[in-house]
Amino acid sequence: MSRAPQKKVSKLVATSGVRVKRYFPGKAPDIDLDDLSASEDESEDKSQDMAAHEPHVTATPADISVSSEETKPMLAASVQRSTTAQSPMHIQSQSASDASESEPDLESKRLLAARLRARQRAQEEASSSGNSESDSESDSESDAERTRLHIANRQQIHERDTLAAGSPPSISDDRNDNGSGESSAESGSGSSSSSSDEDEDEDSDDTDDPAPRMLFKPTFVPKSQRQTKQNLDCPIDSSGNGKSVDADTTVDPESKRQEQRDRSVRMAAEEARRAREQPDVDEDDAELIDDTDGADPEAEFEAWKLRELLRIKRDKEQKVTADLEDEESERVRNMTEEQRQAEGLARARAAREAKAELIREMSTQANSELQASSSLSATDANDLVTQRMYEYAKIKATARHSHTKWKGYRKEDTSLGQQSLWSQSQSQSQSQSQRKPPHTPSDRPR
Amino acid sequence: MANRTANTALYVHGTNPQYLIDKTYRQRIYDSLYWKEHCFGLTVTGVMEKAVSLTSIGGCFGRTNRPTEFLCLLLKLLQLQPDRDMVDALVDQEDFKYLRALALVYFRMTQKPKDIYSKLEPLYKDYRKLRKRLHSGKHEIICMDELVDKLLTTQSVFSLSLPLMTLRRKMEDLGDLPPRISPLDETDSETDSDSELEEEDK
Repeated sequence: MSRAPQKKVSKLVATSGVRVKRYFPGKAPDIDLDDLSASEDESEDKSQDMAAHEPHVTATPADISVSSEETKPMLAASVQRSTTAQSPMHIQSQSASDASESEPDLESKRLLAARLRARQRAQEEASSSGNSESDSESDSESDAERTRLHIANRQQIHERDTLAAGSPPSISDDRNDNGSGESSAESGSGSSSSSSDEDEDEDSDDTDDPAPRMLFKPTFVPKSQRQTKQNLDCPIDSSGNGKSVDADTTVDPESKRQEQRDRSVRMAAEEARRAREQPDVDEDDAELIDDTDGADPEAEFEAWKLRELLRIKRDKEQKVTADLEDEESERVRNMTEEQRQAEGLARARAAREAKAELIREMSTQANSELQASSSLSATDANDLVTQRMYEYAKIKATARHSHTKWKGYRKEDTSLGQQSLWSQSQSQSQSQSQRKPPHTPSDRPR
Repeated sequence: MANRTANTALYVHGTNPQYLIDKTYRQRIYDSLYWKEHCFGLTVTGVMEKAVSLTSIGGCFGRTNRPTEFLCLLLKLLQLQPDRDMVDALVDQEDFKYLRALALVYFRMTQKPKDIYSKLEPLYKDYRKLRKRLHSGKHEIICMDELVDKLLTTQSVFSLSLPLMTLRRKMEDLGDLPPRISPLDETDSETDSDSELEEEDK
């Protein structure tokens, strides 16, 4: 970062002073040595640096390992990727080294440092749960370290779950005995090598720090270890070799194929049977139905006669109803307005009367039935309740659009005109003949 | 070209005469093999010849709404629009019942109510059997007089929606038609009056 691009910044925004490393196709990205190590610190510091990086970087298991030399270039790559995410220590050293920079750069550098500090603070808050929430930089290292370890731990658990899903006991064992579990999962496959890297940093520290949300790298599972529909059970054996456990791998697909063949044969047979029993529409059964005329002249004539008579009858009936309608319309047209209204009212009244009569009839029937089956003394209260329910049901049933069921406060007042249930029941039992039964017996809940 | 109505054809009931059959069924007819093979470039004479060898009447049947040959020939007649006297002759002839059935359905679809009533009602006497193809594909027997009755009183026969027609009652009220005298009544009256000549008149 010795020479930052001199850009005229009119307004300072969040991304001011961000140095973007552009990608040119075909050209390997430059490894800026300054980015790799903040200063001439020892490897220990460097490791801590790298460790501090981890919360910011997308968690690739490979990157988490520390002391292995092979991962250095990978680390460098990861660092390259996270241009904006840098540890506070790193920034500090940077800013220190850039103290001698020109004025405009200093400004942007200060901004950058401030931004990162704020971010780190936020992160600490997120990750801390009962831990010492110290914003001081001295503790930031340990916090970052703890976060990193926690993430590593969780990721490892996740990996273990995916790999050894079929063998529950091994998981529970591995909780305590991480080393063995990891080594067991380890194999020649690339996915397991990453978990072996994790193994070394393993810490049986199951804090429930809400770790920052991380995306896990999709790991490749070789075909033998995959869990598919074919072998739902135990695809992996404990040794971790690339072989599936189920002994009858050769037999199963064969039997399945056989089953499919049987099924298809059965379906074909069923279709053939159906075709036999319900012949195709196209089959010309025109010959089956005879349409020659002279076969039975008398029967035919009789049939025709019958049809004709029915037609005549139908015509007559239609004529009669039409005539009646005409008459009626004539009559009504000739009446005056008052006569028409009077007639309408009379008709409506008659209809209402008829309906009331019907209900009365039904109720007397029910009442008589009730009296016949008279074990009523104990259930009077019950009757009252059911009657009340019945009335309410009627009200509900007869409610009309834009009519409210609210009848006013008088109706709601339970003290008016209604005695207690006990006294009421007594009076009711006395005058049983007059009261309307709540339900027809069949409707009564039993 | 094969599906266009004849140049000389007049509009019937306000539309192209072919449109009297619904678009769905019309399209099925156009797509059918019988239409493409046998009804291409047919004249009225050709239609007559084909109608003579018909074995059933009906609309569309089966799951694919396959049209009967009867329906195809009907559409052909609508397309050609034969002369009125030709149609009259076809309805009056009694030799070939399927041809008669075809002609009377065509008559019902294209002519005026008064003519329909006066022409078709004598056919109540004809009780010859016809094979009708139901929508399921099976056949059933229907008599000519039943067919006439359906055509005169209902609004759809087979898959055809028949043009609306004034009710007979209304026509009687208006005085266009005399009240219908059934052949049965005629025969009864004849047995009463002992004359055979009257039967032939009606």
